[in-house]
Amino acid sequence: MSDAILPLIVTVVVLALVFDFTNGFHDTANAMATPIATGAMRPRVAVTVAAVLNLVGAFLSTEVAKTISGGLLKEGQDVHVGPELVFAGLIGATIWNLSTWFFGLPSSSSHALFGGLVGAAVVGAGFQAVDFGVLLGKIILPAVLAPFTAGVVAYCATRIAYAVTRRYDGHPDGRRVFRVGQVFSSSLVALAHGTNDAQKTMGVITLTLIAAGAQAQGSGPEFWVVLACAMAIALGTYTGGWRIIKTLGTGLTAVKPAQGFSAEVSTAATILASSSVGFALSTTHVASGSVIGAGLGRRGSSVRWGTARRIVLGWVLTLPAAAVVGAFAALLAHLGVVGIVIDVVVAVGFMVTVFVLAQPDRVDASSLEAEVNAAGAAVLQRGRKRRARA
Amino acid sequence: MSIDWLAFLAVFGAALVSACLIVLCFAAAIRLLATPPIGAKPGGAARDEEMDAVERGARRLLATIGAVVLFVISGAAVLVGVYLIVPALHS
Repeated sequence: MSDAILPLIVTVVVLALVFDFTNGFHDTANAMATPIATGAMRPRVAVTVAAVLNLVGAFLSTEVAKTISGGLLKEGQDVHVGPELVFAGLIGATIWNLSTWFFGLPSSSSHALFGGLVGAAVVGAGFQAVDFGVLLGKIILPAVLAPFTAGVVAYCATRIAYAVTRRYDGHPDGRRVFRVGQVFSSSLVALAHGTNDAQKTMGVITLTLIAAGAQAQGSGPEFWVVLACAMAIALGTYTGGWRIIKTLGTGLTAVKPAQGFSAEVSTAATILASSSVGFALSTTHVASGSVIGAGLGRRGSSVRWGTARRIVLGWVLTLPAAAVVGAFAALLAHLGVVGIVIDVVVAVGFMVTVFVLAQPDRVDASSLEAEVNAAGAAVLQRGRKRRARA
Repeated sequence: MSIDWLAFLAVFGAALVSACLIVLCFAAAIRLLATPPIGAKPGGAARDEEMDAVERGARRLLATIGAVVLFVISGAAVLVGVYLIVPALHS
């Protein structure tokens, strides 16, 4: 590796780890929003379990992708995805992930990464660099199908859960026990997430190192890369994207234990089925669809379609928005060292601004727990009243 | 366009069947656990509560055994899930 390129490689690696971190805290909600909402696990416990399982999951599978973009960019043929393009793509992805977090929207981190890379590649190598067939078939259509699939599955599962446990003789129905099941079903989702998502960052870092000549062609990720990625995603998960957890756990519908369990089993089943036939669906899209399906499956429950629309709008915007940011970052990176320094300064400035802006209406473990307890107390009181009347 | 509709249908079917079966098992186990204890008074009006615990007291043995068996089956489903997640176990 030449000395001139070393600072750029280091920047890419650090930025990739920052992206991995935002990936972790963005996706805590996928597994843990529903158990937190029903009180199956206390918020701190839930994020700790998710973080440990993401850490473990990252070590379980190191089958790193052979191309950075998964075939989305025509890498190798007429496009060379150099470190400066990866750098610009990562800036687009990280900035978009932070923006959606600010609005509490669960959005796909893979979409953000692909969007950023596409934007950077279009600037670097023109529109012919992007394989639009792959874009449609592997990214856009699955994103449309995933929430519907998971929604239908979760709807059916929820109907079954309620139909089987409904009692007509006035004795307690025992639905609280679903909370025990939730601990296991949500853990499974967290583990599946860890095996999938840390891979992307490992792939990006490894391929960058190969391109820079620091690593042999076709070799797997170095141990330090695996370790760093696993730590970054686990730390992000532990930090907990509380805003997104709030949206998914309480914003879409008031999730009850039977619904939570059904939703998580549906999420796990859909993700495992899709990844074992190589038809990858985004965990975020699946988990959001499951929560909506479970909301529709319970009698007398309602789904806040306004929130659902905002989430879908976020999904639609993710790819193009990350692409636009990635494109601007790539334009600046073309200026050479000065441009890259400007990129880094702007990106860091953006991150700090978002965190400062988010402070006034901070959502964290304790505020979320208080909200869940308040909802639980209301349910309990209603139950007592009804019993008193009977 | 390179979408594999057959694969998608397979995913949809497999997810639907497996999720429903697991939820059915777990819900049936809860139903059995919620069997009123021997000698319990009639409960009156139908209830449809979310946070009901199971009543204490001696249940019919058959109901308890059935519930345990169904919980074990649900637990086995989690193990199948872990097996599918960890590549070292199946490749």
